[in-house]
Amino acid sequence: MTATDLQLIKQCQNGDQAAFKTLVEKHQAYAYTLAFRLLWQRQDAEDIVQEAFVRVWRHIGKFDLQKKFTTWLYQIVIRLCYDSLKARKRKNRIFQVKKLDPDAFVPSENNDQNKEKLEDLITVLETLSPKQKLVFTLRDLHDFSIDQVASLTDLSTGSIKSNLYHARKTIRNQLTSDEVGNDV
Amino acid sequence: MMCNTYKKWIHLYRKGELEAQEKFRLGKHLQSCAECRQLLQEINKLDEFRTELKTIHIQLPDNLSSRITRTIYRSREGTRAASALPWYVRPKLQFSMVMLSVLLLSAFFAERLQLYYQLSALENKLSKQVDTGAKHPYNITTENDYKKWLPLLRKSLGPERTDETLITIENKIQQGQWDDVKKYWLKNPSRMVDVVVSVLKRENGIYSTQLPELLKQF
Repeated sequence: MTATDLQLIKQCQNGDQAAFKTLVEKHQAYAYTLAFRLLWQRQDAEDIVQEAFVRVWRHIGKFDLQKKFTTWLYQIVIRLCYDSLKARKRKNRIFQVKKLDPDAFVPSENNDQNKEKLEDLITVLETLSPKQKLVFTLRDLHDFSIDQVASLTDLSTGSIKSNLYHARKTIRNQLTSDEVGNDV
Repeated sequence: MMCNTYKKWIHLYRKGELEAQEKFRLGKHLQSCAECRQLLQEINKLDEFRTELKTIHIQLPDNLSSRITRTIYRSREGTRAASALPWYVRPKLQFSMVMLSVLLLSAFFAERLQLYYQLSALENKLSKQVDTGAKHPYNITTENDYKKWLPLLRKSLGPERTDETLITIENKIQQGQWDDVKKYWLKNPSRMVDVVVSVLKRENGIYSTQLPELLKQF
């Protein structure tokens, strides 16, 4: 853990709210990106990041200073996102890919074109199971190692590799079949 | 060489870990093997897919950190406000105290209610027996009568009871002073059952074989 994080956490453990705000500002961006890439919904990602930091505040007194704060924070975010993905799947919600919030992305010149393309990409992701999506996002989009994914998710390395293999295979098949469809 | 080996080489090629000679051989193989060409195409597409998703610039919502700290501050205030109230006003504590009181009172009265029910049942039974013309419960008029009953009553009520107390209880049963009998009953419920059953047994000619049935009804 960085010296700054350690100092901030010690201050938070003494009830220093200003120190906590600094901690939030320092880590909110990555936590939000992580949540957003798992859920692809702005409001859901915001809610989860908010809930994650509330839990951090509640339990910061028990936090072991020998451990990494970011690991703990990301574990909470990932667990909340995974629960949300499972709930979405259970309810058989048809994920409204077409209703992607354009404000969720940095404006660019080809916003409409990019939005359409992004929706296509996310539609492919939605064919994965929650576990496959989780593992694929952490390994292939965030470049965590297999061991890091294991520590963040409590999944075994065997399970991670298996889910990753199937996720990649499913995506490859989707992309290839899309292309075949387009050609026709 | 089998396709499996070339498929592994494809992955190594993507990572840039293939030797020049191996690259050449892979290239030659791909010219003739549609399956391996297909695999390479799929892997390339997967890489493009990853790259596109990774390079999307996600906009951080405005004022997210302020909203987070505001939520935490509000929850802390709420907790502080609740704990600042005196204990007898705090809702959860009030409810717990009320429930505890109800439980204690119920436990206290449950026993009393059970005894009262037993007394009432016995009272009814004895009243019926009197109404049907059965002999009046035990009547100590002679010294002989007293001598017969004394050991039994003493045994029922315990050695600490004096003879005077025994006579008093006997008289009250005889006279049907059930309120007073109940007072003794509440102090020594099991013994009083023995006393009254003994009275019934003696005066109404209830033999030992019938007694268990009577007790069951009681």
